[in-house]
Amino acid sequence: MPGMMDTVLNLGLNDITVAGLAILSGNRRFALDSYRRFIQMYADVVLGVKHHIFEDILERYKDDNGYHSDTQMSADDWSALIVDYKKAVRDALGQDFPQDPTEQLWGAVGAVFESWMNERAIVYRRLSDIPASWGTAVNIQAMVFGNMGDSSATGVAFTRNPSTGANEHYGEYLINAQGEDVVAGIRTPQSLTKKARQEMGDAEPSMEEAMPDAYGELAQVFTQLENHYRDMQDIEFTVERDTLWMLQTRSGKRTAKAALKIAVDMADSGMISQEEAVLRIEPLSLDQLLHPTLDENAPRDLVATGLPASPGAATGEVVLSSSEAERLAKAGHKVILVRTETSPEDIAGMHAAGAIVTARGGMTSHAAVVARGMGTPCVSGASSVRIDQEAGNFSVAGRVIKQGDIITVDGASGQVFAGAVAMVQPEMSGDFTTLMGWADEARTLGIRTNGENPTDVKTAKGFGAEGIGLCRTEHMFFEADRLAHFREMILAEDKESRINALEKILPVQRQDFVDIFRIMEDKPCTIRLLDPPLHEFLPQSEDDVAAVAKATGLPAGELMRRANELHETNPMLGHRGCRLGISYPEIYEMQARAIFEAQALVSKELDLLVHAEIMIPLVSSDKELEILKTAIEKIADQVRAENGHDIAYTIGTMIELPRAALRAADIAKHAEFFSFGTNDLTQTTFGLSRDDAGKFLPDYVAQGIMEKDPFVTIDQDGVGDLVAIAIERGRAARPGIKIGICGEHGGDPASIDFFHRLGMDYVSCSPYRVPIARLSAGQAAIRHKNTT
Amino acid sequence: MTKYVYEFGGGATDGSAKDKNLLGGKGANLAEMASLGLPVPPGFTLTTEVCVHYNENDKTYPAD
Repeated sequence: MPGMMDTVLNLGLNDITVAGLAILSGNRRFALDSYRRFIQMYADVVLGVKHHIFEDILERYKDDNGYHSDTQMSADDWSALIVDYKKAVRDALGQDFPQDPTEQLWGAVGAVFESWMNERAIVYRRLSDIPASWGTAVNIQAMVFGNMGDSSATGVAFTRNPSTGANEHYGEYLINAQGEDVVAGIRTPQSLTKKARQEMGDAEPSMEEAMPDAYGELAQVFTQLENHYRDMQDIEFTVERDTLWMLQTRSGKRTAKAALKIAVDMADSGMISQEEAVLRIEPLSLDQLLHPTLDENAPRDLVATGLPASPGAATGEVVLSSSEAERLAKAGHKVILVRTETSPEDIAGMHAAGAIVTARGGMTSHAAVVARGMGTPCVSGASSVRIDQEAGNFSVAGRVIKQGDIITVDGASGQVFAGAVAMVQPEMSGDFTTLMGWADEARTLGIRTNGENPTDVKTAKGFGAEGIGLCRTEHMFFEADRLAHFREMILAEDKESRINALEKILPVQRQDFVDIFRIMEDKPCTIRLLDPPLHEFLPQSEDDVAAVAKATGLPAGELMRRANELHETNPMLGHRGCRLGISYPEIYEMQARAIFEAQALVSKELDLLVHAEIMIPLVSSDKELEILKTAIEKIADQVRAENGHDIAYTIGTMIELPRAALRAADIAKHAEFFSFGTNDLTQTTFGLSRDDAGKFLPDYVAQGIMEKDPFVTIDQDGVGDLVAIAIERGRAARPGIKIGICGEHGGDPASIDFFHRLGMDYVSCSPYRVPIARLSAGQAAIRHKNTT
Repeated sequence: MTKYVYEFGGGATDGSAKDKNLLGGKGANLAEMASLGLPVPPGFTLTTEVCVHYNENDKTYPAD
């Protein structure tokens, strides 16, 4: 992470050696400039004297002399300034700036080691899953000077475009400068290539034009490094009097879009294999590609323009500090962080922000690099933005935008707009389709979606879902046109009036399934029969009861009485799931009839065979399943006879209770498929209510009792063991039984890897997780090719 | 004796990109670039083990 650990440049300079450097270089101004930089950096990083103290001294000095730029400072000016700097150190610390190079060196080494334990490093490690026990190394390296006149420069480059992935050199440099000037965004740097300069409309020459020899050499190094590392590289370099020096190389951070393009391009050119390309993409990063972009036709009110530092669009409230961004984001606000520039101290706030805008800094500034790595939209170097922290606003050419005002940031164009701008869903690019195709070739797991409304199901199918793994029917009853009938059913005193009410629901419920079957055609659809306790459908407070009574004409007293009657102390473990089916068989019978009739209808209409998988929830005993299955089969026979059309269905069960997992052999005698409901299985295995876990789970993770939140990544040792047992016993009793998972773990890469190893048939996840699941399943298959 | 200091550039290079855990990402890649014959200003890396020692032993360095 750039700038995460501390750096000290020009170490070893003191009142005596600076004179030597002046003689050796034949450039006294350069030597003194280096020395004053050293005092400032060392004092800041090692001695803890705030760097703004030195900036203020410099600004005041320039003001007093009528200078507006550092380049106007002469050797004598720097010399005078050094006296002021050293005095500032003495005033702040009560002791002189250390002159002994050995003392300077040990001080700097200690500061770097200590910076491993500072706040920003701790936050970064937490965000990146890096244990504190690793420690940091310290590099001590001969100085090469990018500030030794106009034949010297320093820069940052990427071997390919980290924003789009295009195979072109990308970067920035500054003539007569030191590395910190580029990274910290203090001066806005110049383009590396002529093409980029022309595209940006810059007047200042690119490196390609100003230093053709050094640039030519750099371009060769790019090729050599890419071929060697077989990946896009992020490089820091310095040119000292026309000689190129390499200061750093590492795999470059990139957007998801760039990652896809680079992986596909490198595989196409034979640099890496298709399987390596699939492994190169972080599955969760695909989320970025699914982000909306601005609607081209939407009206917009442009406030400021900067550099397109990290693509994507976001709307939110303006915040001017990282702590405020964190605070508001925690409270559920969408915020846009607007800063003059960012530094590693801002990392938590940047993480919390929906987008980032900076007034200073280039395409490789701290804000730009970090934002791209996080997948957060960013506009950097919006130089017309003036931030007034005290007044709590920023202004552009006299127009004032206050903290809390809504703005929209478009990281792809580098524009900032007032108010909210309408957005559209993105098109999936060719690289996405290509790479997903490679993942599909590799994977053995099927990918299904959880979904119950036509919009979700259509979206998921577009993302490549091969079926529905979980269609929850209870959501359907909350719709206004049937809630009243459903309540009538719950309030019914006897079976006959219950059936009466259910008959009114049947046609609407059938239409729900017709809509879904039409979209999924002959792909399998797993439909879960009613799961939550009945009181969830009844109004709770007296006011609610009165409102419902008025709207439906149902007697308020009756509603209240029945709601009280149905009240449960612990609904999660109460009268729900198949227990409802046992008590009120007519509910499941109505649902089964709705499914079968819809199947017959759509099968006829589309001339294919709709495959429904009817899933019974919360089973703990084979008896429950046996009773309910018999009842449902009876309905199927009736519908077949009535319609004269074949119906293709199977009946299976959720495995979401430890007892069901342990008794899987008995249950499999009746179940044609198992679908692991790992949300409930995690709750019931840990004896832990998910809704209450938020209060203490963070402590458990922080103290290492749990490695991760078990509702995000499956607990392989405990819950996973039950899953493994159930699969083994289930398959022993019924070879070929279809096995999938429909908990939220179905969209988590680490959990998918585990389900692949267990030999499941498919995973099912929410629509927007489908691409992530496809890629994760492909990666799991490649990773374990030789072990399973 | 544990090796706490790795040199790079200037003719002698001890580490490589494989030594990320010991040399840190930057140090390991500097060593790797030096081995490839690229122009890297000479220097040396104090390993992460020194850091662990430093932070665990009241800000002191290993004896050897």
